[in-house]
Amino acid sequence: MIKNGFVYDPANKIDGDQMDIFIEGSKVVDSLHEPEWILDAAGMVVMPGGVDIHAHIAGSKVNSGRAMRPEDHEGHAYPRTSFTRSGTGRSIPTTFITGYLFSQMGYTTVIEAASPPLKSRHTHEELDDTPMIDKAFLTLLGNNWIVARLLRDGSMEEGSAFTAWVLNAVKGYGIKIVNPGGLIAWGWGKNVSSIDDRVPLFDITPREILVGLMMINRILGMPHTIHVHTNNLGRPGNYQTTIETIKAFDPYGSSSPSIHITHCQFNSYAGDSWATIRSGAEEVAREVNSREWLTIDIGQLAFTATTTMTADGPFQYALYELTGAKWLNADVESETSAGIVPVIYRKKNLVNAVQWSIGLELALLVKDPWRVFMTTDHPNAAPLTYYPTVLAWLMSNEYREKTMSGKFNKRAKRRSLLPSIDREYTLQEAAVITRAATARALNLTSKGHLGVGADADVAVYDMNPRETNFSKEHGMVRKAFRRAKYVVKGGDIVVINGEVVKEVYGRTLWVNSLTPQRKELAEQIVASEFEKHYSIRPSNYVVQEDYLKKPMEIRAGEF
Amino acid sequence: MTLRITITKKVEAPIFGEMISPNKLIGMNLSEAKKLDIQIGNKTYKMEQVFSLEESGSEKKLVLIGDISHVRFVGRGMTEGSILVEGKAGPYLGDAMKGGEIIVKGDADSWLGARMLGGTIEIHGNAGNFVGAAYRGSLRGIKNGTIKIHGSCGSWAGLHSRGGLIWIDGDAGLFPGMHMSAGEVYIGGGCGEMPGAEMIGGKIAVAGRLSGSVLPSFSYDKTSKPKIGGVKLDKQFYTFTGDIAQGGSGKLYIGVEANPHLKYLEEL
Amino acid sequence: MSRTIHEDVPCPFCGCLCDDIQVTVEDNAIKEVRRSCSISKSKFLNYTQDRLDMPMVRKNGSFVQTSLDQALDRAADILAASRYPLMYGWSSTCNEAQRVGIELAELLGGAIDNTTTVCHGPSLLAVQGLGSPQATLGDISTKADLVIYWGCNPMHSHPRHLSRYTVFSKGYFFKRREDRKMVVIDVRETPTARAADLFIKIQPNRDFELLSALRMAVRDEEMDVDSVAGVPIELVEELADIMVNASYGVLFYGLGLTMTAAKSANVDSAILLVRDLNARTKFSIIPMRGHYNVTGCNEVMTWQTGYPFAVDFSLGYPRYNPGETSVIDLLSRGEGDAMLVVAADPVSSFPLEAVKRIMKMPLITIDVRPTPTTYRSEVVIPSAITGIEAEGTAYRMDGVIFKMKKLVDPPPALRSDQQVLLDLKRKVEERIG
Repeated sequence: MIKNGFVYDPANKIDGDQMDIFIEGSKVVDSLHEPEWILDAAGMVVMPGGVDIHAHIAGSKVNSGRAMRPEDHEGHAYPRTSFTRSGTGRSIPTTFITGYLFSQMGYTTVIEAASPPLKSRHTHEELDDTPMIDKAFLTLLGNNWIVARLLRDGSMEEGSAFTAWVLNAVKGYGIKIVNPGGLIAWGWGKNVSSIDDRVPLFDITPREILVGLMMINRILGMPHTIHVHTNNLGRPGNYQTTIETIKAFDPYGSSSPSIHITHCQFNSYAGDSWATIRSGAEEVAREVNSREWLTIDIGQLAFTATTTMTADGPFQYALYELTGAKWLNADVESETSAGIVPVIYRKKNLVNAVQWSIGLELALLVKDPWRVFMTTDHPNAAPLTYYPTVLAWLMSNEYREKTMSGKFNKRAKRRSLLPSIDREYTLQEAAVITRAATARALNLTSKGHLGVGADADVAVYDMNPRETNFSKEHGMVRKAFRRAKYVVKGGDIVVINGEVVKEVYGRTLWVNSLTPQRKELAEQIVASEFEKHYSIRPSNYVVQEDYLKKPMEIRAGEF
Repeated sequence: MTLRITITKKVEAPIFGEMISPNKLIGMNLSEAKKLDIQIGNKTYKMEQVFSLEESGSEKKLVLIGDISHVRFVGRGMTEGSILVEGKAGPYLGDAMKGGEIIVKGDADSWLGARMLGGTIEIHGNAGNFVGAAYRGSLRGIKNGTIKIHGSCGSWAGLHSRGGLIWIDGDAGLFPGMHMSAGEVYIGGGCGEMPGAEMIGGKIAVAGRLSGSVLPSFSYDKTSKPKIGGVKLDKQFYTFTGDIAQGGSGKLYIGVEANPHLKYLEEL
Repeated sequence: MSRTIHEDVPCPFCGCLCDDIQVTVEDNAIKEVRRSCSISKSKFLNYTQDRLDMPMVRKNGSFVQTSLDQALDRAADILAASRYPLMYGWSSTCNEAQRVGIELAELLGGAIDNTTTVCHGPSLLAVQGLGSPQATLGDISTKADLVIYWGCNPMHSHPRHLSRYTVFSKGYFFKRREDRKMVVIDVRETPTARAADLFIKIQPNRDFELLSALRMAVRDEEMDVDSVAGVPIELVEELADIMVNASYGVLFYGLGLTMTAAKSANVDSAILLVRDLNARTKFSIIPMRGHYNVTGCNEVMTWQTGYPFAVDFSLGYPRYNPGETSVIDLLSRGEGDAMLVVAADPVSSFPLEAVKRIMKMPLITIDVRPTPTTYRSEVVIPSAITGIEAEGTAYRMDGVIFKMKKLVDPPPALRSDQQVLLDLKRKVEERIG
């Protein structure tokens, strides 16, 4: 039982009420006769455990990042204890450490943002070695050759069947699209630059891929919308591509979400060169504000050294050309690519200062906190350990102003609206954008809230909402969110005073949309198409459920 | 206070000697120093179980006696004072040091003066690989300071050097000065393949015999007497600019006298 | 009589990890193997030969057969008492076993290293410095119209490489051999060289120079030499042209680059060359990994410790610096007082100085066959062969992952590497508290 805390449970409209949370086994219950344990949360904030909708924590690309950055691990070592494993890493921590770091911040569910189907067995191995959290991953499909052919030939039935087969084969949670069409072009070192470009080899456009996969997503009844990293990421002027992408969905919009645009900061640049770069956040936010079926996450930057890693091969190559840093590229046959480049974001750098402004602007200009989520696209815009800093920025205008002083590039202040925005996120809103809204967007019905029947994933932060001026005490806010007072995971007390006290392993969630009819149809497609495109046998491509340590199947359409 | 540190324990495991630095030990109470924790392999000991410590003299100096070839990180990050190693030193001697002086009467091991930021190191015997080098994956080699080796050294001396001076009287192994962006490397003897490979700045001079040829990505200028370590060298050197494959403009000097197989350059 | 035909069997021998093998099993014995190369076929058919069949411990200098439990007790005694145990091998076993190995090394505060240290270590070091442009093998089969093999002889070391993945494969765009161009660069004319469209013979230990020259040529820079590394400058420029004009090129390389004089610098330069080529066309570089799961070992070690090989745990957390922490470095410095070897034969393959050092310490070996290393051991524990008698995960040379199959039951006394290691770990934990 968690006693007397100030509970912030936006999904159940609880906004700082002082109340008790009862836990029995691994679930939240109505009441208890005799609690086995009592955590005294008097004078503290109680929230559901954090639900991170987009972070790069496991899989081939993440591991290649670790492999090429021994200098980023050196000096950032975590010794073993009698119940925790050792590890290293500042921007790309090793798997055990990743789990512990999330847990210390009160996060209990994390979605790996992008896994290539062919290498998903690797993603599962790493997720199985990531403790403390429940996890899932999104499956890269926006440049899949067989999917592209099926979309082009207009067969929705076949496209859905095959997509369901892939998701089922790799035990993925949802459909991820990165630079649709662009990565097919990257197979020959090229890219696309608008959503109506024709993609080499398939004579299809990014628009057609996006809309096609959105429809397949609906047909399959997936719990999450398509999750999209738009074309032209990282290019000045790309806010227009983002808006075009959004508008492509206007004919199909409904009252429930149709598309999620991820790390929107990287896709909201105005201007036409690095020298003239400006924020396009206002324009993008306007489009988000007028469409209920659209959600975004911000991808907020912090001024630090980190590692960029995305499936967007051409973007990563361009970044390497710009910075001359190390560059790793890893194309995956018939599916996708990956690129990794270390980066340093500096306050005095005009571009970085504008990038930093944009993420915050997006969060502050989008009115509905249920449709804009807090992320740093870990580790791309900042390592996960900066989450508390981002919350402090959102909740404190003073902290933003402090950051925009001193070495902060003065010209950057005129390139965005941020200096003129004084909105401050409330604690309730902070809870929305880090847990309630993300859980809802993923349709994780037992997460992100503390109603009866919810998973007993709870975070207690040592801040008194009645006595704290969040705006002024931003340092304290950062500290409180960085090291939770208590964290409960699945009914176990796992963190006390910001330290992991018990190591637990969560479940890997995956969505099964492969009905018997779809299976039959898909197997025909596999029989005729698979061998042409892959160097592996289809039976070896499929990951059996018992390969995962703790799988949890969710039926599509039933959540 | 001068501290004489004699190793008394025979080991077959790495010894982590970061605390053996003037900054840490000089000025510390002797009985306190004796009780410091020191790690050998997977076991923790007290300093006095591994070394005998005695005070002698008033300079800010540590004298290390005996075979300390297992002891890593001696003098790490030191800013002042001096260290004298009478026998053979272990890896990472003077790692990231900022000031002060280290002298070794015997040989030194690998990563001598890695990532050096200042101070001086003098080795009377030989040194291992990676003198003044950067760590794996990093671009930050020696930035300031002087490393002098009377004997020979191994490969990759001055890897990713960004400044400072490395002076080797004897031979060097393969790839001295690889990825240099600034700084100076002098090799009095011969060296192995490819000095200055992938360098973009700085100077490297090899007075003795270069085994093998100069890289095709270096272009020959003329003969000259280069200035290294503030001193104009007394001999003639074939002078090259490169590594052009990296778009570099570093200078590579190869001694004329010891390299008759390069005489054809004079005709170009 | 029971008879099963297993399809799509991944082969547990080389880095090709071909997964289309068909194996027929009758009464718990492998009777027939199809589609494999001859090395693979021979290994599958002869898997029962020359096996270690019982655990053994040394008593008064000779081997005595014993139970698995007692052998593990003795091994745990040795490891728990050691001040600096070394754990080596790993590349010929599955990820699941490697994970236990890492945990054991961490628990004991020792060092763990794998065969990368004597093989493609230099490649990994180069990637750490530069990154690298890579692709999966299916991409090569589909797109590559130019295939370069440098310092390797796949006809011998990876027999089906050309027919499954490169110039003899039926790719999506290139169905015939003549649709693609193959270039071989080596110090002598190997069988692979004889199959090439262009064979470039290079003087030994001069690969770095040729790579530099190629980089210059790709950048259209002038060089004032007649030849480089024994290769006439015109031929260098011709090769550069071929590379720049390919629509998709790939460079495969082996020990000819990683284990000759310049080592990691060779790979450094090769990666830089391929990187430069990407400014003009599409090019990838892929190392020809030897053991079927050495890649897996690098991956597991990286995600658990941050480093792919040569990890020291004395301070309770991973430290990494080949040149200091690799098992050969440690042995050369006289460091290490006990050694656990899993699926490797260092007594045969290590330099003499290192072997002398190994002989001075108690050795525990987990393996399937007797080797010079088992003959020198205090404790020998036989195990089931992964991919034939036990399941497990393995990674191909390009990072694609396979679940290795169990086709037959192992001999009754034998367990899988993973099970043996789990038991060993438990016993060590009991002893060190």
